[in-house]
Amino acid sequence: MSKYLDLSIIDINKKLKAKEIKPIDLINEVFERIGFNNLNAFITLNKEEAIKQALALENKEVDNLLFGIPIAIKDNIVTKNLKTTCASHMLDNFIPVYDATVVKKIKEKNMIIIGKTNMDEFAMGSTGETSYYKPAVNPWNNKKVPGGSSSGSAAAVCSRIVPLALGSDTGGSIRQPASFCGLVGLKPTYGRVSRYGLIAFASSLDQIGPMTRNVYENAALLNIISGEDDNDLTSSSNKVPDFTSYMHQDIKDLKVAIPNYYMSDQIDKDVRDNVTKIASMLTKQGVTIDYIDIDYLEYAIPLYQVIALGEASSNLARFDGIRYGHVTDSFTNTEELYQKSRAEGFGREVKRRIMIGSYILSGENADTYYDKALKVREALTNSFKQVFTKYDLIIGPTNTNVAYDLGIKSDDALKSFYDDLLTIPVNMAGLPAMSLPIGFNNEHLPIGLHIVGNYYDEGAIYKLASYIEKELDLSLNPGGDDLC
Amino acid sequence: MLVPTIGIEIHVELKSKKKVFSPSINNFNDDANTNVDVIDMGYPGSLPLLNKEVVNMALQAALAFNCQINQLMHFDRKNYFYPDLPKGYQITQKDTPIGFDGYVEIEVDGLKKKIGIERIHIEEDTCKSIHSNDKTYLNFNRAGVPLIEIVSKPEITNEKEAVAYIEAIREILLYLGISDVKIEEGSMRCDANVSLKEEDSSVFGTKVEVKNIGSISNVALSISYEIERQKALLMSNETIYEQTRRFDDKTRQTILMRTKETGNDYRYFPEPDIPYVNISEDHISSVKNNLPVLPNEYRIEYQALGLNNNYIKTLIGNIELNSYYRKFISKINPIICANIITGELLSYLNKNKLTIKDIVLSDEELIKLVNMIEEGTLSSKQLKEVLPILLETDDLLEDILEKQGIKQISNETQLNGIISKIVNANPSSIKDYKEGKDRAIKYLMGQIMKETKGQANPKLANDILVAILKEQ
Amino acid sequence: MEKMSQEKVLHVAKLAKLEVKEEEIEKYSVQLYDILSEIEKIVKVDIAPELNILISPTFNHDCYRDIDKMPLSKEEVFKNAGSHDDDYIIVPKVIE
Repeated sequence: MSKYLDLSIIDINKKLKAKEIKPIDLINEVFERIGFNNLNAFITLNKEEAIKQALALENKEVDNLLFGIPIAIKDNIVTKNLKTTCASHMLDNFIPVYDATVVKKIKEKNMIIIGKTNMDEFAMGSTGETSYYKPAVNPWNNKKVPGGSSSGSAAAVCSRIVPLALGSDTGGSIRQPASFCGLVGLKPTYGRVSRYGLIAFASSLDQIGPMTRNVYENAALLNIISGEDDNDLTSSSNKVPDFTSYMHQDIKDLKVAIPNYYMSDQIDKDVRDNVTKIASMLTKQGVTIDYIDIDYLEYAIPLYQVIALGEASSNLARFDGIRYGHVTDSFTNTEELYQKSRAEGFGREVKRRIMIGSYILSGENADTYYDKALKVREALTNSFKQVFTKYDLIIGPTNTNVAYDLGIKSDDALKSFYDDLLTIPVNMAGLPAMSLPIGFNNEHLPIGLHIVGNYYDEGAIYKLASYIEKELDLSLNPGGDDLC
Repeated sequence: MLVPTIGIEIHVELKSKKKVFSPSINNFNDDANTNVDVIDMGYPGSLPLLNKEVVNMALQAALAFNCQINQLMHFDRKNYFYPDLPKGYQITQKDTPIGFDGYVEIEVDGLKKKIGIERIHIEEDTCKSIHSNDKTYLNFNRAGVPLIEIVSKPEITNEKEAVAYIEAIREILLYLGISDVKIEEGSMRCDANVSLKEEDSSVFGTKVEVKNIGSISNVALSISYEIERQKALLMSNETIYEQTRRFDDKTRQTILMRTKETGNDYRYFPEPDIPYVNISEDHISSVKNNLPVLPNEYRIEYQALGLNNNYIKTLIGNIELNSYYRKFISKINPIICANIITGELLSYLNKNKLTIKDIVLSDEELIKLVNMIEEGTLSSKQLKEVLPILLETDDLLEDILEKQGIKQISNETQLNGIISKIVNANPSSIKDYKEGKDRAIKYLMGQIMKETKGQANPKLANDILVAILKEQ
Repeated sequence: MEKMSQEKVLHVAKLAKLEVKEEEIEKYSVQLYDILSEIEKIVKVDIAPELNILISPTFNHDCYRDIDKMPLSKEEVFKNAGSHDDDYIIVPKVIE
């Protein structure tokens, strides 16, 4: 069996250019690997189209690094004529009539979409278990969750089915699974990547980002998906640099902050120790490391509950059984059509969040909680800005813990959010942040380092991440040799 | 004594080229569901855009209504479920309407009054629903059509003021050229909030909303009906409940649609898909400086020119006719010109279902007509005959007068002969004249016109007659 | 255990247009109550009074876009719709 998919993209690109291999060889390998795995990483495969596209590429010049490279797309990003379900019964049969902007960009580079990945239903969850299509599992240990909501994207990249995948991150949905699976996952600055075609969970927090095996490939994919989009008013006109150019730049003068909040005893000790090790490694390189406090950080979770769920309750109102989506079998009036279609189409977690969000916005609550939350959000954002006047980066653990067992998450409306304790504040402020693998615990489960940058300064994140990655030189392929 | 308090909400469709939050063409009269984008359908993953033309139109309206401008404005979501509302929310402006605290001037029975405008905001229209016996059909062409909502302060006290207010709003929007403002076609929709309170009380009564009133005359009818209905209830010590009613054309009554439950729970919150919009001081002043001349300015000008109220009302109420009139205003007698345009010309247009744009009448010919009437060389009777021919043919005025045998006898010698003969044949009139009786001249002029089949130049004939009578 | 009234839960379910079963009402009444006590924290936060509400973390942006786009074909409009004919999407009669 060929092992081209274990190679780095740079090596694959060389072989494609030298015509040692063809795109179809990569695609065949992808589907072979999917067959061997029981990860439940995909909801829909795009096999026929992918093969057709790969064959068509044989006559084209290999004109860019990502030419012919297979990619997996989280199933909340719309793909024209390819079923997009959000892992929900609500969208079982939904065939979009347009491509998301990121999908368009990927197609323009002649990358090959091999399928739509499993996820928590409507990206609501942090284990992948709220999927209507059964949860994906963690390739490092099939009894563990891969993390969520971008569970399938993480599992697919981790198990080397595809070198690249797109995820989306509202409160940690790229970084947390990246950390649980030992991947590089980046949530870009809010506005860096167009949200057009991303089925909204919480509009002011959602951001699409790359999930990859290594830092360089992450930067290469971010290069392609970034940039201002006329279809998204919240996309930024900020210039997009070549993110790969930050690789291996000198880190000596970097100033890095570690928030005390991120190192409290709420965080698993193994995780903290690994972060501390990195800190001392960096100090030796001449990096300034200070432990600091960030005001309002402790309010991030209640803020998230108000803002994310308020927005979600409104964003998911469009699923009413009229223009698309699940329609209940029998109804006599529109009220019944609505109530039954929605009750049947949405899963438990989604309904719970819609209920909470509707409640938070109802009556006087909107004034009492929502407006205040938006002001506290501004205050939190300002205190992050304050930190970035003195520091280049903030680091800490991505998560409070490593991947846990499937099925243990209780049905507790509040506790589920506390998983994202460390990732949520970043979405609140709209900052860019990465999870980078920095080691394993004693069960050999990956641990992630959280690197948070200033607005539009993903470059600094890549700079530091590429240094740490090179120094640690971890073996991150759960199936064997790491060649990429 | 019970006095009414009336507030009026007006929704106006703007005639921008594209919809407010999508790139679809703004024309819902095209074939059903052909001007539809994923945005208009509230398709998963779609995001709103913001149309600059719409914001500018709304800004024009806000400035024309003397409003303050929210220079840092945002949009809000109004959440409710309805089949005609694709996203499950309407994008509108709750916290930061583009304009607030303005006014319009109205005149009722010769008295001027300012009616305050609470707010003007931008929002999107819903789908058009067509109902059959058991089904409702949705047309998404109208989803996302730009609207502005203009909310008056509760400063209107009777139906006459209400009508004057709506007409004033309508006229201004018409002159801004940002809407068709046709109530009958739905591009302008009026709701009235009516309540009664004791005259000296500062506490408002319970308000009743009358929705979707289909014409300006129905506004007056529904308000006066509602005032009487509420009066009767209060007089018999009954309670008025907050409710929504509609006006029924046939029975000429307002009819209960729904009582408001505990108030609607629209769960408003700021629209996160559209960032803050900055409207700079510079932009505001440039829009302000480029506002077209508004009806009130015309009104003041026309009053100064001496035009009567009927002329003014007709001209201002018909924007095309008014701009036609403006071409001549400084060239010829403005009163006679207004008389012809709002009189003979307009009735010709109305009779033939035409607008001023449909007719070919060279400026020179109209100028000649006005001048001839002013000189007295053309009578109003002759005008009636000549005008249709002038409008329907390419002939010049002189040729028409010639062909129709409508020519004036302006030859002094000829007229002298005719008039002398008539004076001599009417000795009693000479006597009347000498005794200072006015009717003599009138009678004799009548005889002259009869003799000349109305072709005598009236001014010249009059001069000659007076001269002859004086010689007697 | 403290919880929210059944009446309130049903009001929220009606707003959210979700049919709820008897056992769900009970669960929601606890969960909604819990959430509310959690977000109470926000009400008590001291912040500078002049703060704006944060609507979108994006800044320095020209908000207007004018793009030309082909309208959807009718086939596309109706592609995922539950009930439609050749010209319209159809719902049960809406009575106003």
